[in-house]
Amino acid sequence: MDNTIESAEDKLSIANRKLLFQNEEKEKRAAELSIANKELIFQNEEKEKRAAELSIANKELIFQNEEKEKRAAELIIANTELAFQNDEKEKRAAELIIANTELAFQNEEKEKRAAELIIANKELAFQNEEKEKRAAELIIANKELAFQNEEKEKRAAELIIANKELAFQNEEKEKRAADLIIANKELLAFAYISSHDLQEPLRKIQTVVTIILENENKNLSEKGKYNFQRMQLAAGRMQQLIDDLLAFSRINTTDHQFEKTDLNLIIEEVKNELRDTMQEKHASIEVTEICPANIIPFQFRQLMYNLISNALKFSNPDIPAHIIVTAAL
Amino acid sequence: MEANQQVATINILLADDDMDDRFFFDKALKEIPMASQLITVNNGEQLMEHLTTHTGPLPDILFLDLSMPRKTGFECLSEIKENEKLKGITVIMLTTSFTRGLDLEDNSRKTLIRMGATDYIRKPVAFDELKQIIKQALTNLAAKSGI
Repeated sequence: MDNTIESAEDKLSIANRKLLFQNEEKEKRAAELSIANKELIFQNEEKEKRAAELSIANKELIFQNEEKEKRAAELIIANTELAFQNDEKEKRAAELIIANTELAFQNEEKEKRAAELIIANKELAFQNEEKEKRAAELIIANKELAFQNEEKEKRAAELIIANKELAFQNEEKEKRAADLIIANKELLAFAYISSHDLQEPLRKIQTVVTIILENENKNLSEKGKYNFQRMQLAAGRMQQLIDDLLAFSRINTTDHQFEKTDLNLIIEEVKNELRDTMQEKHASIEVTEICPANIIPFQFRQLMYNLISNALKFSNPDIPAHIIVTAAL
Repeated sequence: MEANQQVATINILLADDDMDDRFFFDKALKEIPMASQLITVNNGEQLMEHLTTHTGPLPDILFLDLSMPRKTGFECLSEIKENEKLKGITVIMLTTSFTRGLDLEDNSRKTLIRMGATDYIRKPVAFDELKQIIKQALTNLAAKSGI
């Protein structure tokens, strides 16, 4: 039995010690918990402070939220405005695209024009250089001309002297011309008088021929009558010549008596005068496109007579002559 | 230079220095079937002497050549038309003096008519035309004076 008590005592001792240890541990734990408590109290206090701060912060956030909602409303309005402006800007952009295209085209044209102008500019620059060269040449030529001018002035002085000499000679010639005019007038007067004197006997020849043809008609052979008729024609022609000569002797250089005359009549007169020759030559005269003209009739008649009679005279006798008279103004 | 004084006979006086023209005139007159009596003088002086000294009747008509020696037809016409006794005579001027178609001829014609000439006649080339001219002048005279 002693062993059992001892064993119990040992067991109690051990349990005691264990409880002691546990006590000690619990005291340590209590100390630690006390510290932890204090810590928790501190933390609590801190959290209350923080809660108070958060409450303030919350209020602040609420205020800020309200402000932001107001701002959001304003932004919606502003947004609508911006959307409208955006549309406008898009329209404007579309317009600007078109305008841009146009400007681009114009730009190209201007570039082309600029290219052309550059070429033209080069050309002008070249011409300018040429002109400068020409100017330089002209300056030289000018000097040459100035020299020639001096020479000419000297020559002019010589010519003045020569001119005086010619003026003197001219006066002499004018005197001579005056003498000639007087002589010419005398000649014309002579032509007039002599023509007039020719006219009278001719008229008498013509009158006598008409008396013979009228009174002696029965006694004349056909040949005789024909010859008298030819005499009449020739006398008529001579009368015309005398008339013309008389007229011519009266015409001076300032007194040409132009008349509007039917050229057909003149051609007819010439044809009548040349009838015999034309018959001999089997000639024909064709008058085409002839018109009235302002002429000196007797001179023109003589001209036509000479032309046609020469044409007949020098025509090939083996071929019938065909004379064409035409006119153009 | 004597004139018959027959009624209804036209007394004609011709003043022309040209013998041929006097012959032509006389011949033409004879071929005109009108009663007439012709007296001829050879120049202007003879004409004026005849007119102023002749005792018979004055001519009904005077054919007066313009260019004559001693006194021209122009001068004679002037004297006749200034003479109260003679100025009633019908005067027909005859001429060859001008070239055809000249203004000078027109001017002369106008001057002579203004001076009192009844007509101005260029001596024609054709005899028949001469007869016509003389006949016409006589017919005009007869119509005018009732001869």
